[in-house]
Amino acid sequence: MREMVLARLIALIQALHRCTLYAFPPSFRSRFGEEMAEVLSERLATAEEEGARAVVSLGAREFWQMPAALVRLYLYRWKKKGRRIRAFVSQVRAQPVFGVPPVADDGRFSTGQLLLEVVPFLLAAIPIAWLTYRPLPWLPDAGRTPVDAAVFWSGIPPALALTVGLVRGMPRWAYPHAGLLGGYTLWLAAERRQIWLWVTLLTMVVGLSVMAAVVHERGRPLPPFFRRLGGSVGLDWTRLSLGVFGAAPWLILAAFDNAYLDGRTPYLGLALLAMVLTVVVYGRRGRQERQLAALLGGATLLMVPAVMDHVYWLGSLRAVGWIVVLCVWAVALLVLPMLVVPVQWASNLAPLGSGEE
Amino acid sequence: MGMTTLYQIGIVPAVLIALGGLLMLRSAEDERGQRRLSLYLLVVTALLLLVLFAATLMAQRGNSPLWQASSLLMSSITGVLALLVLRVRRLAAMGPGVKLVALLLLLGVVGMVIAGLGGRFGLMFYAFPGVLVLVLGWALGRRFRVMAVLFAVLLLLALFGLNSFVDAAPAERTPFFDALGMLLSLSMFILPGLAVVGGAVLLVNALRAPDGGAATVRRGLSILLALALLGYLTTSIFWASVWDQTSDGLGGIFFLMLSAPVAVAAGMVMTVALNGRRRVVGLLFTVLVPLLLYQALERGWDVSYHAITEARAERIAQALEAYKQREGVYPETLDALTPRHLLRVPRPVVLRGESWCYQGGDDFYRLGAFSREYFSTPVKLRVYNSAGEPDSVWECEERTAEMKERYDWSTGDEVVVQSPSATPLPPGEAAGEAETLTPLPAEGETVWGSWSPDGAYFLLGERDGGGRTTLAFLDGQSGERCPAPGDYAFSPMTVNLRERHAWLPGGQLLLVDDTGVVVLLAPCSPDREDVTPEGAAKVETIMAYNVEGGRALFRGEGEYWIFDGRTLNWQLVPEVTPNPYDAHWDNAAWQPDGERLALSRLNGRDASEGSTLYLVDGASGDVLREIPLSVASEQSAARVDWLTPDDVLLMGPDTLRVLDLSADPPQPRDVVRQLFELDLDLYGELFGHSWWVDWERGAYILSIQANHPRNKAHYLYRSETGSVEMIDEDAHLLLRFPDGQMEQWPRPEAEPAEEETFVMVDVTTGERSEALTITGHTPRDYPRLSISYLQEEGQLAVASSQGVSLHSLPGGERLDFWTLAGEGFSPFLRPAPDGSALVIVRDRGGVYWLPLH
Repeated sequence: MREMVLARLIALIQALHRCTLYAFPPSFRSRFGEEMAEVLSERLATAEEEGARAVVSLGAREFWQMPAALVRLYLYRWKKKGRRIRAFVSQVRAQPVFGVPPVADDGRFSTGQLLLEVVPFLLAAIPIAWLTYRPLPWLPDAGRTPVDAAVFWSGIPPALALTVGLVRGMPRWAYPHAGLLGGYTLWLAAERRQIWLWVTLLTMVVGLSVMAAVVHERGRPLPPFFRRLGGSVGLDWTRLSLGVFGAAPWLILAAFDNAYLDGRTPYLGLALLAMVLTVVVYGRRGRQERQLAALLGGATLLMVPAVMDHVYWLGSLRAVGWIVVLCVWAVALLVLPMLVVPVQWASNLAPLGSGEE
Repeated sequence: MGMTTLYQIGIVPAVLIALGGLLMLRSAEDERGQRRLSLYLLVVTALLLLVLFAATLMAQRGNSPLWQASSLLMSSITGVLALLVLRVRRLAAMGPGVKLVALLLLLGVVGMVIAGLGGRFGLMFYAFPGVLVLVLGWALGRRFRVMAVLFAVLLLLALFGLNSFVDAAPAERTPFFDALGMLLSLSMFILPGLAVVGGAVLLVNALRAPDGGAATVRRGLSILLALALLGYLTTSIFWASVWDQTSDGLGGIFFLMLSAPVAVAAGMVMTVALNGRRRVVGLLFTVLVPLLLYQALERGWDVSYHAITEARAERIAQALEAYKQREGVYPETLDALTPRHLLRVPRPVVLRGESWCYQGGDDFYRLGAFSREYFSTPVKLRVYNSAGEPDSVWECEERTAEMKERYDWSTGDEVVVQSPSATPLPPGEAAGEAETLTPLPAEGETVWGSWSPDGAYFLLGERDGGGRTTLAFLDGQSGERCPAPGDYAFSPMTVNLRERHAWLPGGQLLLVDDTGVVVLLAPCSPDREDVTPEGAAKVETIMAYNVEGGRALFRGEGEYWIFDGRTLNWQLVPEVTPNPYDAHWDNAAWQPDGERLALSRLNGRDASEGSTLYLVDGASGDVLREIPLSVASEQSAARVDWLTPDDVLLMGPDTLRVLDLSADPPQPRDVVRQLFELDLDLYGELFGHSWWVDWERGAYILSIQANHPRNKAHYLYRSETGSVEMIDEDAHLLLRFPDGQMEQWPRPEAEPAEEETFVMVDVTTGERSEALTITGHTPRDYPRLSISYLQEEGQLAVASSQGVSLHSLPGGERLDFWTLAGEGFSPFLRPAPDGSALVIVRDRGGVYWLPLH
């Protein structure tokens, strides 16, 4: 009778032990589970000879130590996994996802380059400020407001500059011209209630660019002209953000479009000044995150004078929603290149040794 | 955005799709790339058709999304369908999955056509014929290259023949059409597209031909022939559009719509068919050829066909003078000028198929043509050049009636002058227990004038079936009508006698009808005095009159006359003549005291030459000052009105200015920007403007209603203080001026509602009333109510298609309501100046009288 009870006790301990094995990670269980069960059986057989007390003591010790063993085992496993993640992250960092050597020699330390980048913003800001604060009565009616005169500051010269930029493989100074033109077309589309069309065409262009990158990567290399364009973007994706920021003059005009004459407050001038300073700061930053921060900060800063102008006329923050919406759109579009540019492909697009500029 | 603009923008997706196709070809080696291209085309076609289908679903409320989408995508759809058809063998060689997709796509297209959607998309009339023409032309032209050249020459000849046929007079065209009607219709439908395909095929054949020797020459000739085809098609579209201006035709757009989408599609096919750098030619073709065709159309609509005709007449006149110098006499016919003086005699560009009217003698000639200013204005014989005194009757003058019969729009065509009738609306809540007003009895069509200044009589009339109009004076107190002596001729379109009558200080009525007879009538008196000016050309309309000063400005044929109602004398304005073109308008305004007249005259045929402001002395007709203005619209001089003795208000399509006449030169001030200091575009951001003048004090009030997305306020400018007041209420406004006048300013973009809230603003004090609510005027067929302020009663009269109501002030309670018997659209109110009665005039309906005392 005593032996039979002891045998059942041993069977119970073995069964419970098999169950607790399921608490271990599957890989560990499949590798060591059987061995652990066998070791326990052997030790139980030895304890059986010493009597029931020894069997109970062994079982209790085994189950008592199990949680600590589980914790140790899982900690070890997590540490191992963490090492793998860290290794992966450092590997990703070593192969820059977003592109470029942070100190690429793309002209950001050149005053001449900086001037070229600021030129389109000055070409937009000066006529806007002039027509706003010093109206020219001798001008024909159709050219007296900044929007009327836009074809000169946002149409033909930027188109010519962009053409030159395309021929030269899109150096950084060419991007704001594209933004100015894009802003102009967006303004026209908004006036004619055709924003959906503008967005559709833009989406098609972006889709085609992605397709081009894929084909270049997996099919046959694109012709040199397109490779140079891809290389230009791949060298520094913040160039696309700078291109988006090129539409800032239109952003400012839209934010100040509140039916009150802009020339009656200095806020529009402040916004234009903030725009130009933003580009200067962007041009002097050496790291991409700082460049992007400069553009994001600048875009937000442009809106502050617009809000102040609105408050000046209406006496409250009533109906400033559209300025907030503009700001959100601007920030989203500035960040977009960071998220969507397939830099691994784009950097491959760059012909070897394309230092540019 | 116009349809042709959308079609031009539609080139962009076509280019992007073509570039996508190139990427597919580049993505893999030959055969695999071709398969990917076929798959890509299937997917893109399905997507494009899906977009069109979605646009149809969205178009249930309005057609805008549908036509926008179809205009944008038509070229791309034509291109991808053509590419698919041209690659049908490759598709057939592909796997069953691809075949199934292609079959489903085909079934989808057929289903859309069967469901009747093809016509709505323009698929049936533009895309499918375009695909057919492109595929056939391409397949044959690429296979038989020598035939392609011959075919292109034939196309050039056929286009020439088609143009000659279309240019011919209707009488000359008829026999051809009777004999070859079907063939001509078919050729008109396919020739424009074929010309484009011919050009594309020749270019591709030339670019893919081997280099060197005779092949180079053949290549050059092919390219020249291709350019000739495309150039001739462009010229044809240009001239078709010029002629469309003369007749409101659709020839140019017809040619364009059958060729431009095919040009885009042909460019897409070229892009895929060519290889290497030659593909750039395909992309350029996709962009440049359709743009050229679209620009030909727009340019054709921009040029002045009158200017072309005048230039041609001038060339003929020079040739006639050269002939006279050589021969000593003018030729009997213009044919004598060819070929020595003119290679061919160019035709006038006014009435298609018509030639010059010419009469020549030994010492004289007259060169004219039947002409009309616009397609809807009457045909006249216009003399372009002449010399000497003719010695016989001009045959052309005798043909005038025949030409009017043939070309005038409204002659004998009842449909043209037929009025639409109003659709009855369900009665509103106030109409149930209301009294019904019956219109004043009339046997013919009613015409109406205005109240006499003392409020005793209202001018009314009836036109009989023969076009004669009898007039009557409605007594404001009794509602009885006493007939005016005689009957008068007014054109069938005249219902308002605004430019035909003027009340004079003594209570007499001055009236002018279409025959140019000017009479003086006294209400309820049999006397009728003919005061037509002697020795004057026919006078036509009263452009401006002034009750207090008793002066009226008449426009005559080539002359302005001032009539003095106190002395009954006429005075010619010797230094100013009216703008000579039909359907062009000058504008004028008297000072309230009648001392001076501001007369704004359009300088040319359109706005390009601006207008001239003449300040004319009312007594002598002398021009005191002449001021050039840049303000004008295409058919009208700047509108003008007096604000003070030194300020006039000038209004043009995009201009609203106060002109300070005390300065030399006069100083303009932009009303919106300089007086109100607002940044609003006149077009689109301004709902309207008005002005009120206190002549004695030399002051005025201007008001504007903003319609900016972020500003819907109303603004008042007071000249005395230079102050601007903003009124920003969430209600409609009623502005009450010091002399008891009231203006209604509905809130922009507000829809008619069961209860409509108004705020009354006293313009003098700036005081605003409590909101008053008007009810009982919905549903109605015109969104704006007609509201009059009855100063004597201190009430508001309100009219809509529901009826007429009276409301108390300031509470707005409805005091009475009348429905209107009979047919007609929304009525408008004409209150008697003394407040004794209301005359209610119903558009396309009767006239009602409502006594108020």
